[in-house]
Amino acid sequence: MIEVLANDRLGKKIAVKCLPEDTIGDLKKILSLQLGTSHEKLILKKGHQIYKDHITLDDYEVHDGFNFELYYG
Amino acid sequence: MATEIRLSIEETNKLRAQLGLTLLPTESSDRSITEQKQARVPFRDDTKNENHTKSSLSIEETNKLRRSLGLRPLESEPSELKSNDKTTLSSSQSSHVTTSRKEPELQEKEGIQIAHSARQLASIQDGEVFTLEDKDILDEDEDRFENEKLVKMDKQEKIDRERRKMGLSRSNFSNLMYNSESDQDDEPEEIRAVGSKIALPKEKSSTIHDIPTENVVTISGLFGDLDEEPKPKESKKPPKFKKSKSKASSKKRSLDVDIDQNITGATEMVTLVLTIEEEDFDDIEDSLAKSRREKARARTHMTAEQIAAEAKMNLRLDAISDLKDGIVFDGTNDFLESLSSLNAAPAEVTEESSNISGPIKDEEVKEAVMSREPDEASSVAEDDTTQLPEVDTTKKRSHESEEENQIENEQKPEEAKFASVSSTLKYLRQTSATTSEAEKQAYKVKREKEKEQSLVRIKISIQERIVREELEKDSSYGRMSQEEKDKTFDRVLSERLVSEGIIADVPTSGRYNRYNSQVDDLADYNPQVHVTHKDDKGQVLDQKQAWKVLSHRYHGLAPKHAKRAKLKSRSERTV
Repeated sequence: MIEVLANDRLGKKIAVKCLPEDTIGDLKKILSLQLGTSHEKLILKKGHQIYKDHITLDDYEVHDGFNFELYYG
Repeated sequence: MATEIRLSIEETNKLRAQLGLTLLPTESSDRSITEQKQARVPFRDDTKNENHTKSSLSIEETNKLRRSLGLRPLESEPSELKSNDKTTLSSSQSSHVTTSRKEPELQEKEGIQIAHSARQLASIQDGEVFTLEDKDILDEDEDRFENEKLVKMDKQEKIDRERRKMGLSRSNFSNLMYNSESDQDDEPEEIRAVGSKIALPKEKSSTIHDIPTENVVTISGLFGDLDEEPKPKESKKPPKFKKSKSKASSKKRSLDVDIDQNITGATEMVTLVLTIEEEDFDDIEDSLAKSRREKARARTHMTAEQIAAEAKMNLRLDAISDLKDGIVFDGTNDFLESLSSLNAAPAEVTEESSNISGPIKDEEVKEAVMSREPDEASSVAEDDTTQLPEVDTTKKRSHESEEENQIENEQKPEEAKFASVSSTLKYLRQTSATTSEAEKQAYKVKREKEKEQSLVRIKISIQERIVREELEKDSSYGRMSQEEKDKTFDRVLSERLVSEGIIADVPTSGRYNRYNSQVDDLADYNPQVHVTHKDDKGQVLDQKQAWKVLSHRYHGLAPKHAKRAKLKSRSERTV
């Protein structure tokens, strides 16, 4: 299990516990439940890289304590 | 400040349950998280790899190979390797964990298959990267790791082998034997690992000649020459082309230059003999005969029109030949040029008895022509070929011929004298019917203008001199710089010329105004114009209204009823 952070730079910083096998889409769903925004509207980025929903965190080499940039689309 | 939202595991599990995701492990899993954090193992769990057969060398065995190759041995580290019943690793492996990340980790980890032989692995150096082998999506085989360099080397070896086989299949049996020896070398070397029960993967390299290792007599040295490098192919020399000898080169030509006895120069004068052989004449005659034959052939195929044109041509030529006196008109430049010669030709006939000496016919004609005009008696000197005693005879003849010509002229006043170009031109001017009076007048006007311009130029030059003299007398002018002097000179001169009336006071704003001598009367014309616009009904409109009316008319539109009513009311109010 790993814990990742999602920060939208507008005052919301969410720490989510998840498994490495979880996909980005699953992570977005968990975030949407905590934020109250639809998971389809959420965009996770790191710099210029946009994380796609169908790829797992492990494949993206997302480690424990990884900081995502949360955007609303 | 951003408030951090952090949920507990239970709460997260609730959310995950809602979403249908697998639940997070609870307290025991927390411990494993911390352990994993400490260990910082990059690779994933080994649960998937339990059922796979693995082939990996131990660290000691790897280090042995590396030492044999002269490579740095791998560092050993304590590791938490999970033992698998199916993986047959030696007991020494479990205690050692290497610090080098890539290759030894691969070898140690269970469930990792490598797509290369141990011999190939021994050839690579430290720090080499292993990547997953490409496979189909539907392929259920386990993941295998491969090294790019080794793959390339494999491919190259296969290609070389196939090439050799292709080359050798055409040659004799001895070459096949050679190949068989080389194929044997490609087989993997035997690895002697004591105490290991590693099942090395079978190589997939297919060799056509699978010669068994047992019961084979290896004969060496018979084909030593084949071991040498292949001889370079003899470079084919380009074929020699024979240069075709032209006829001109075969003929010898030399020039003869007589040494001038009067010239005494430092350099020697070379005598060259010019001899044109008779073969050239033969060639010329052959070509002429050929052209005649072709013309004769062409004549048979000529149309009636072409024949008529040719007959006309021939008639003209006949007329020329028949004519003793007179000229056949021809509308070409050559006609005018040949006028003098044509006119001299009948004169020759009359003077044949005078026995004029002259090597060339043209010179004779010139003499006859010169003899007619007493002014050109000096032209006798031009005739280098004529000798002095003959000059006297020509002079006498000139007087005689003058008398004859006078008589002829009286008899035939209309006959043209084309003795020289000026006489020809005069004749043409007199007889030409194309010159009209308008052209004559234009010519006169042009001449007058030219005269005027020349007069103006003279006046300007005079004024320039006067102004220059006056300015030089002025002391302040002398103190000025050259540029200022030029400027003042130009200014004063222009003022003087304008005051004298030599040049009109024309503004120099226009590009070519200063060069126009004519005065533009409308240059100062600038009348005050007041434009009033009126519509169809006669009402006076201002500029904006006038524009609107114009655009309506242009576009075929008209203001709507309401607007028209407005306009009406406005006009009524003004009235």
